[in-house]
Amino acid sequence: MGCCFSSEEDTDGQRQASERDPLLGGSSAPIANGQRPVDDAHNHSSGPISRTDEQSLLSRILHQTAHKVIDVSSTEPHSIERTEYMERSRQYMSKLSAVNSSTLHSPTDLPNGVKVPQSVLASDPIPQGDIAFAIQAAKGADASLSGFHVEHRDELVVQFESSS
Amino acid sequence: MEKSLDSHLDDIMSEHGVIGVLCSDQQGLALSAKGTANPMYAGHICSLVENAKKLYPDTEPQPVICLESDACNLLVRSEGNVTVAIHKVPS
Amino acid sequence: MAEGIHHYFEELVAKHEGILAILVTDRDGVPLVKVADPKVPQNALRASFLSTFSTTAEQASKLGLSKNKSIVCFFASYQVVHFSFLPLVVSIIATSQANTGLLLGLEKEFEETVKAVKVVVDGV
Repeated sequence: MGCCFSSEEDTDGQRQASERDPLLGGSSAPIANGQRPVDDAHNHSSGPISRTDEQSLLSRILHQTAHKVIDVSSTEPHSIERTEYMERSRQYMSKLSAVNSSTLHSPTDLPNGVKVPQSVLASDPIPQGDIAFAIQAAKGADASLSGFHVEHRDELVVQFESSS
Repeated sequence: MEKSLDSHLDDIMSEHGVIGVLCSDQQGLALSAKGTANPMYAGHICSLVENAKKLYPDTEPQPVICLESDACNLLVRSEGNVTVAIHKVPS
Repeated sequence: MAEGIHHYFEELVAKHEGILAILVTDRDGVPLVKVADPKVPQNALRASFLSTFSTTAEQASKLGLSKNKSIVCFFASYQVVHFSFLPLVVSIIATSQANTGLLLGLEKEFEETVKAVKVVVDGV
């Protein structure tokens, strides 16, 4: 779990795309209609390509695009048959009995505590200054949050239309 | 967007003895965490505040919660929609 | 030992205020573990509702924020938190007042248990 505006840094070395990077490059200048086929031919082929190569290339591009596109129309859940549902849940039931119960311990959240409670109990209570400081800190945070809103900076929609 | 809150939290961090600060909303979701504070515990901090409120339902203003330990004190106070938790080394 | 797992999740529900149900299901919404309070809306326990997460998480993973781990859905009087342990999914149904941060933090608590379940049901 991260924070509201944490911009988590990746410790795995290689920097991955952060949540503040635009999904699509900003330099999406409109592509002229006639230009695209020529581009593709230059990039993907060295020499003349046979028909089957072209087919596989096209289907690969289609496949990759389909893989990358967020398709909200496909989120319709495929419901499963009632009989299959019953069968599977029965199977799960029998399998579950094999789970090792020793892994089911709940972790202890309490810290080890203090060995000599007298010293803690006898010590001075927390200074008034600290309490005032906490109150001030909370008030300040509340005040600075009053102006907290999302700032619109980049375009949310990138235009893809080609100038014909 | 977050600059004002961020600089306020930096101010708190620069205070003597403060080693961590966590700021969370009412839902227990961390807005920001600095220093030793872990955003994972925003939920626990918030439920602490909720439960403290139940102890003194009629008290206004809200209580300051202080958890004392050998190494560091945790000061928690909620104000409006925001809860601030401060890790402070006792001076 | 199936009762052991059931009991473990029952305790989780009882321990945390606002949680109405915890379900461990497969990606099609077929439950392995189902602990539910009578107050929870029955629609939320249906396989067709629970299975939406696995398809949505798949799409959400394409947002450029790397793999989707959890989704929180807020409704007028309920909130649902889904965790991905694919092929298993853990769904927590809670009241809208429940502490969302605490619910998200629960993942760490039941992680080991769900992984143990995952190993056992692998290959079904």
